[in-house]
Amino acid sequence: MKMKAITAFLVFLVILTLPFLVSAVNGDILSQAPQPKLEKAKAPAGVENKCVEEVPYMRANHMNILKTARVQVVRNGLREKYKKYSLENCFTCHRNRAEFCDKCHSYAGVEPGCFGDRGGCHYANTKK
Amino acid sequence: MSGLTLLYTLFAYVAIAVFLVGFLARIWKYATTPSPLKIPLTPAPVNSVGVVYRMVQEVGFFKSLFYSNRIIWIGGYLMHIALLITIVKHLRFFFKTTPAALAWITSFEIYVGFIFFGALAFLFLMRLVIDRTYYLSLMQDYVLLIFLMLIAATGILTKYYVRTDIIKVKQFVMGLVQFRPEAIPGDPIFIIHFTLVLLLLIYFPFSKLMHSGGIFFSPTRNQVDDAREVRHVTPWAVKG
Repeated sequence: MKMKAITAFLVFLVILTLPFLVSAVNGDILSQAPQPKLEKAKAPAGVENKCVEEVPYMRANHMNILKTARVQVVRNGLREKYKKYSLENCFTCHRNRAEFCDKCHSYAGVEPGCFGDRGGCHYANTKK
Repeated sequence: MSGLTLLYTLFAYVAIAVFLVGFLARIWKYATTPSPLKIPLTPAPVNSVGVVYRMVQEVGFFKSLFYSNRIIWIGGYLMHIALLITIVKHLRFFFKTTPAALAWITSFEIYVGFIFFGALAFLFLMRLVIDRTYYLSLMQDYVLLIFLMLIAATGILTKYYVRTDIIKVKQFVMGLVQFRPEAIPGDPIFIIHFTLVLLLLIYFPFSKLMHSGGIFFSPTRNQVDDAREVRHVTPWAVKG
């Protein structure tokens, strides 16, 4: 009877503290914060050398921007209006999928929906 | 470290401590409560394999509810499945490397938050509309449903409308998990979501949410129907 109670207790203890236990085994993660690498293109004369939106905004919202642009271009034909949000435009600075996109995406466990290997449309412009 | 980070780090640890100690104390209480009588609800399994099968049906499919109230079963089952998927999807914030299976599940976009919210709203409505459940409902039933709806709503907002930088969120959560506090992301919606979850964690062990652990200790479901084969003796009934 007592044995059963202890077993039940331990089972729940392990399940509830799993994140703590796993990270105790796995060790340090904070120092492994993702460092995406940029290869900035030279902006043409007279154009400011920066992203299409502010960086913090892009970090949080780039997926919504890309999705909106895709729908507007592919379904509604507004290619000119959304030209600055085209993935080709992104590629001018964010050239390397493995060095840029995947750094944060694999850290967060999210798959970018752009590329062909997950039902997306685009070829990764570099090797994975 | 900013004041907000300090506040939320302390708040989070207090909430986790209350939740863990409270939950485990409850489990200990359930597990050590004597069951002096054999009271399996018939038709009951006659061996322990059968009991496992019965518990799987009960926990996995809410069999009793299915046969007693189909409408509420639909709402309740949807809500629980959506909750399970939501929790599984949130696990990627708590583990260093996201296991492949987890990433695979996460990659499906099935708008589970909306299903969760909808099912909760449905259950809330059911409590109000059906006379019998309206009579049976207590304040805690409504409060919990509203609480979960608020959590779902703020979660939906952060995911689809007022996005937050999830890398910062993961850094913050991993900082908590590894006992090395990191800065909390400042987005108001995320902070509201996080606050509500911590409050829920504190309330959890004192609420009816404990059915999540308690269901495994229901004597009418987890007992073997062998009263005629094996003499059932409660430890405290044995004469010293």
